[in-house]
Amino acid sequence: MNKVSPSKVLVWVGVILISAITLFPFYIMIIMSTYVSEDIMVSLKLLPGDYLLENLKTVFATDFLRFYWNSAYVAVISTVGCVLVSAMAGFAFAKYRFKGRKVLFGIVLATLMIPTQLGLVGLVMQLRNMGLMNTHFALIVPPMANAFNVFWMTQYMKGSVPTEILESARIDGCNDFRAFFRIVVPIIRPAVITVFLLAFLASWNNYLTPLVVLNKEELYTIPMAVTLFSTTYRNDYAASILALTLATLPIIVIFAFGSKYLIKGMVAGSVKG
Amino acid sequence: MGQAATSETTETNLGDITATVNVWTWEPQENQQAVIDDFNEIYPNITIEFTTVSSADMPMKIQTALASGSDVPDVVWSEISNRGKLLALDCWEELTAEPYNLDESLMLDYQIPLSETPSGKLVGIEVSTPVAGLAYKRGLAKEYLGTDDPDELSEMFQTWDDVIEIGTEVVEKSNGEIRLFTNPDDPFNIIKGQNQEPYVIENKLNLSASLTEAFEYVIAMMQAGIVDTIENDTPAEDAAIDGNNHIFFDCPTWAPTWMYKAKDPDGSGDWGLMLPPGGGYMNGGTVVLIPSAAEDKEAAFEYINWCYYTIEGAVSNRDNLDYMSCYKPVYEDEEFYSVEDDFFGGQNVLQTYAQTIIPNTSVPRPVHENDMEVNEAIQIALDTIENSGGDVTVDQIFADMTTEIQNLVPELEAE
Amino acid sequence: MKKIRLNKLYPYLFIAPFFLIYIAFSLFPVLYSFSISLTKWNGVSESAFVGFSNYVRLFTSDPLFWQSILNTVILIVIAIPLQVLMGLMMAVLLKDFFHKSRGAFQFINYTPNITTPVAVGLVFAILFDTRVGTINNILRGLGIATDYIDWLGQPVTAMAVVILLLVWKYFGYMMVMFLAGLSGIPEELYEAASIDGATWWKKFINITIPMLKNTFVFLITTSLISGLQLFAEPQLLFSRAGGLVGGPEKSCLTVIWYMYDTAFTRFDYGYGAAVAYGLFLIILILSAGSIKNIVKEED
Repeated sequence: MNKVSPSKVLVWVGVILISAITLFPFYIMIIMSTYVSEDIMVSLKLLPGDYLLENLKTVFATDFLRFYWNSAYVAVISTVGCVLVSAMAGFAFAKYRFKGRKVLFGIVLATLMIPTQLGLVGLVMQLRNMGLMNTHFALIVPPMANAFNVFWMTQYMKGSVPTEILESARIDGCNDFRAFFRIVVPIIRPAVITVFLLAFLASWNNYLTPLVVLNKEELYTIPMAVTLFSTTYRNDYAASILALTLATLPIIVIFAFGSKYLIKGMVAGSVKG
Repeated sequence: MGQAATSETTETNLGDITATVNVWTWEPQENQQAVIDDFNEIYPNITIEFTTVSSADMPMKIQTALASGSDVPDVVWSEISNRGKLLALDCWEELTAEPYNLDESLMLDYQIPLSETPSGKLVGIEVSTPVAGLAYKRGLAKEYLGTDDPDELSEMFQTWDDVIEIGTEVVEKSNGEIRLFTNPDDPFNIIKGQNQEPYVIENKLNLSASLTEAFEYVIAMMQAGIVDTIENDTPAEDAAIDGNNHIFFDCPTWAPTWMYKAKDPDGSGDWGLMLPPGGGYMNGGTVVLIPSAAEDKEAAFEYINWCYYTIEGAVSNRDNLDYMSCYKPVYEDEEFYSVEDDFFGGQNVLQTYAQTIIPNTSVPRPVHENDMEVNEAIQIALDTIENSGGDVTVDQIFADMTTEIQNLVPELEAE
Repeated sequence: MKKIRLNKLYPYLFIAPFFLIYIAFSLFPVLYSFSISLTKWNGVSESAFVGFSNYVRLFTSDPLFWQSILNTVILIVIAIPLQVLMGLMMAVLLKDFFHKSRGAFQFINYTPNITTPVAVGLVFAILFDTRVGTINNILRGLGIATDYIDWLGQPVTAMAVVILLLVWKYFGYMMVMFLAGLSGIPEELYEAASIDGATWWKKFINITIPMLKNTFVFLITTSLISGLQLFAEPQLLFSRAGGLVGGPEKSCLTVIWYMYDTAFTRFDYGYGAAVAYGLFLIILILSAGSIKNIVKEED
């Protein structure tokens, strides 16, 4: 490039420093996974230890792969559903003028303020009455109605979906559903990916709902698996941290690949929003 | 083979009872499998299935399970920290009633208040009696106290005043290097555990009768410098166990194996166990309960009864897990719990527990629904004592505690 | 005629899935909790109807409720501007000074946002442990500190750690949002300003900031709303053995933590539900104005 100005050096140093600090907790997590649990806290450890294999054995002695699978398929189904539901609702709020639109949208926003923990016991009662306790149902269906994602989709579509689309589709004899799926959805691909990633993340990391709803170990998702490493007398922190690190890896990979789209999606969405 | 605890009047062939008993616990099943296998020799058709629930999550999971009535476990492990709340739910099977007919007179006296609901129903059996003595480092004891013999030490330390007196000398002699305890919590728990006054009497707080002595002594100890300020359950505490600056450690039955041998691996021979001044006391513990809404209650009872209320069960738990039973007849055999332990300098630790400490343990106060709130307030008070070097008065402490507790439970009246 | 009627139906059909699922699985449980807030219930035995007395106690004689609100507000009032500032700064720097490596740095700084809260709480608790925590070891090793700092045992430092955790976790997300917003600002504006002789700083103040207004509004609004519901991070930070509920002197007790402890740990579900509704009420009153504005903008 051009001459290296002192301000440029300063900026590079600053950004690298901040990024290093950001990565530091991860680095520590990985290091901790390589030690015996008791050693972790005896003294400062900055270099890897030699206990990784043992910890891996501990982690996989549980049904860890099954927990991965459970987390994965729950997240995928729930997320696809969420994208659909949010996109449809967003489309309606963005492109149609209909009675009650403002009030309904206000309600959607208001629901953002209700803490999820509040409905926990009520949800459990409901599931029991429907015979759906101890299944993955509560992890898959309820999260599909996510006000934040509806809000996001609405903002995005207002800016990037031309209103004429509906008109021309109708003229062509297409009903609105076909128009939605064949024309609108491809246009909003960045938003779809954004919502997909955010919803996937939320599902993957969800701890409270599975804790309350699942009682059979074979149904456990990954965050719950962490409880399996503590016995009455000993908390195996190293194994817990290894399990959590392994749990975070797929997310990081998915986000690494998706981040290009994530940015694009957030671009149009937030500029108009 | 006998069902010593139950009056089994039916001719049921034990092998015919078929059920799956679901146990909610934080213990991994592998740890308990040997005992389960022994149980299955007598009851081959009762399958035991553990579901892992951490102790901290237990109240919430129980609440949602019971509230919705679905997937209620058959056996629940209840740790002392939330036992008051769990028992107050009053939704557990009364084990002394039909069809279980547990004989309460065969339970160690001091276990009973820890397993009763507020209405006086006995609903739980202790997994391993958490009676506690005082562990000490022999090397330091010989050097600073003149002896490392447990009986002689008990003679020296008959009251807590003795502790303060001798402790002050030790601190002087060692220029402040050696302290008696790692923190005020340990002696506090002992004194508090020896006091039988309840925290709450009929909705009114009863703090002075139950806790004055404990706080007074601990404040004095703090001021005299004989207790350190190392938090329990921290790596620093582990270091203290491994190190050589503190003489006494609180020692419940589970501690020798899981705490001291584990954390001071090179300390074999340097440990001893004695009766604390004032006698033994209770520390921690886990009780098994059977929810009334459970499906397989009878089978569940067979399981917990065999494991924790028969001699055969006691043998299996002792050999595989070092647990000590709460079933009185076990202690009639003086050699039942008897192993010479090199780690403790050849002392017969189990026998010390069984024959010295257990007979000298006072019956504790019953568990109460608001134990959790009171204990939180106590913890805050102890922190204050630590942070201020003992510069507080007992009245101040009680005033603060009352405010704390009433914030959470406004129905409780101040003293 | 039929076509027009059908056309009118479509929007309702499109929003139906959201509302149906929400009403069935989110609204009902939440309303159920409201009915519980009018009782005294331990979740198991019979519940006792007590009318609004829980709310009376909540608003008139519960110092913990107000303290938890104060704590929550303090935490988010400090954390959110820091997140925004850091996010903005990093976004601007990345945009102006990094081209090939921008993606990598972007991603690196976004990763805290995707870590499981359970892991974050545990790791930070270990990092900031008084005697053996990594942070204290580093500070002492570098000679910056001479004694062990009791990070999680004193109110001020404990809150500082929570704020640090929050900034660490969310500034990357803000950075990404700002980057997105920045890419929507036409380059010509900057070029024109350069021609007029504007400095970097002047361009920043006069072009960048105003053009990012929408992003600011969105980020601050959503952060405030989710910040008021803060629970997982502080709870997990203080959840190790011996951890007091709410941290030292309850300095880190947030409203939702208070609710969770009351309802699920202490089995006082009726009052716990009232705490959550109390918060909801306060949020509703405070934000009624802004919801109206956002909805108005729909036109």
